Amino acid sequence: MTLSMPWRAGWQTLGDHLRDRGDQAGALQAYLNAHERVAIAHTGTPRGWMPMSATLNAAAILRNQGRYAEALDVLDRYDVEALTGMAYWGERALRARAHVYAGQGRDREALALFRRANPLQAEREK
Amino acid sequence: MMTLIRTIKQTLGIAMIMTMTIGRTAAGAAPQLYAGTARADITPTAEQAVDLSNRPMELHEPLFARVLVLQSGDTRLAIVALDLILFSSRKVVDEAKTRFNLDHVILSSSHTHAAPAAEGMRIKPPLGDWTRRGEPGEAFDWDALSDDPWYAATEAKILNAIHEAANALFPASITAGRGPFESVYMAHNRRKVHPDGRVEMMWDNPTLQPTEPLDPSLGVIRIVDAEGNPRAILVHFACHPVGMMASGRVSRDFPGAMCDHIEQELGNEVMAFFLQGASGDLDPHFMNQRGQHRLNVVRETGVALARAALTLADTLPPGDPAPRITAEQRIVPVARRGNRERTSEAALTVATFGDRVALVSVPGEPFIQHQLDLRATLPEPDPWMLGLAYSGAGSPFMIYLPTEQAVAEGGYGATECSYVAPDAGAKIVAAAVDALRRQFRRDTPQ
Repeated sequence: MTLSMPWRAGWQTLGDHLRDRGDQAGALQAYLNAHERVAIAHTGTPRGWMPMSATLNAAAILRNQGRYAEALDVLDRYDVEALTGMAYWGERALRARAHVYAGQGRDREALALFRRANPLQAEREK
Repeated sequence: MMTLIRTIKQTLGIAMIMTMTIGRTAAGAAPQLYAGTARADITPTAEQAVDLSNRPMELHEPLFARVLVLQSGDTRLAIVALDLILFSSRKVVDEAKTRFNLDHVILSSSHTHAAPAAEGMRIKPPLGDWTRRGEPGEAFDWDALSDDPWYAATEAKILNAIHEAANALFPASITAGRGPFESVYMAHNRRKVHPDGRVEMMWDNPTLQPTEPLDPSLGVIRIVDAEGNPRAILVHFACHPVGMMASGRVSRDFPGAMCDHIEQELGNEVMAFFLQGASGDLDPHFMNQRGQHRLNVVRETGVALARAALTLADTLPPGDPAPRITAEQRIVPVARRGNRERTSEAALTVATFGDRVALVSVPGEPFIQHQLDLRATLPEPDPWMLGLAYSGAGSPFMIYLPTEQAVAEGGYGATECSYVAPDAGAKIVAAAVDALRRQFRRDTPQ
């Protein structure tokens, strides 16, 4: 994908659009671009909502394609334990990893992560 | 003649007991167990593939009828596991009994919502939504469903498969057990009752919020031949197979993936059976997924169940080659809601296989609490409550069988699509417990 995208959130938006249209490969590339080419290039750090969101979306696509190891590699960009200090992102990161574990047949580990996410959701919804 | 007697007894509305005590030796030892399996492809043609809601479907995967015939002494029974939403064919049960000398036949539908339905039962004008109008046995002529070419062909294929299984009996042993099953994929109770008593239908549960009541367990029966080779694995679990509902595709849903995985792991000689439990209020966590992910989730759901079943199967004690088998059919009159003068008949087939497992077939969708109550009242032999299981008499389909508490609370399955009195489910459980106590006590050596 060679599209020039000066607008920082553009790759993210493009990813959402392509995913909605069923173009999983295009959406994945857009999300990866959102994370690496734009977000980190501009900020020098993976912090912020956009790289985090792009990472989770990319991992979801990889997981849905059965590419579990790659999905975990993408998720490993973030320390899930550190994220649990932020209810919203912690909840999403735990569930994203849980979905990958489930796909790998690691049901018990997946269930444990889902259950850790639920109190974060409750905290967020207070 | 037997059909005539059954008809007379049903007409009289008397709780009927037809107990078959299996032939035994004078010393009390049961005879050798024989088993036979067969499978029939019951996939509709592209033109025949129309679901219960009258929506056409594409062919995604084949549908099967899997038959297990068990014989001990002079008594034979057949369990037919069907990749269908519902199949209550009196013709199949009656003909199988007559032609193949079977005492009992259980037609157990997986309840996959991605299966075809006979033209005569589809929800469309002028029939309309018969699931919301009282006793389905009075809504249309169930025997006339055979006018549908796919349905008639399915009946014939099932009968042929029963014949094949009954003609291929081998000396067998049977063992069974129950173990825990908690999965990311299923199940949750879809009736969320708020503190103020309001009922919210929670069809899916993608964040795995805790719900209750649930039965986080599965049952496994393993049939082994005389050489020690596994030949059949039967899995009992309760959850609506609705992952592919309204997908526009014909699919066995998660029970199909479960069977495929077990057979791939154990080899072609093994036949896997999914027997639906009391799934009236239970759904899988993930529904309405999109694209390939939907197919993946349904497959993973079945594989997770298969893995747990295989793990449990490995821990089971050696099989019993001469289990005491008892079976009977009970007709339980249950009042209709709002009019206790009118009754419907729930025909249960209650069977025990040695001291480890029993089957209780129920021609409706019992809420899971009934399964829990049955097991709590009589934990041994482990009673498998089979929902969507027709055995040739009484109501062809009793729709939902809620608990009295659920009826008081309301919601789908409790006050919608349910026509029996609130105590109907409890009466069915009580009848099953009574039948099991009678059978088991009588067959326990003194």
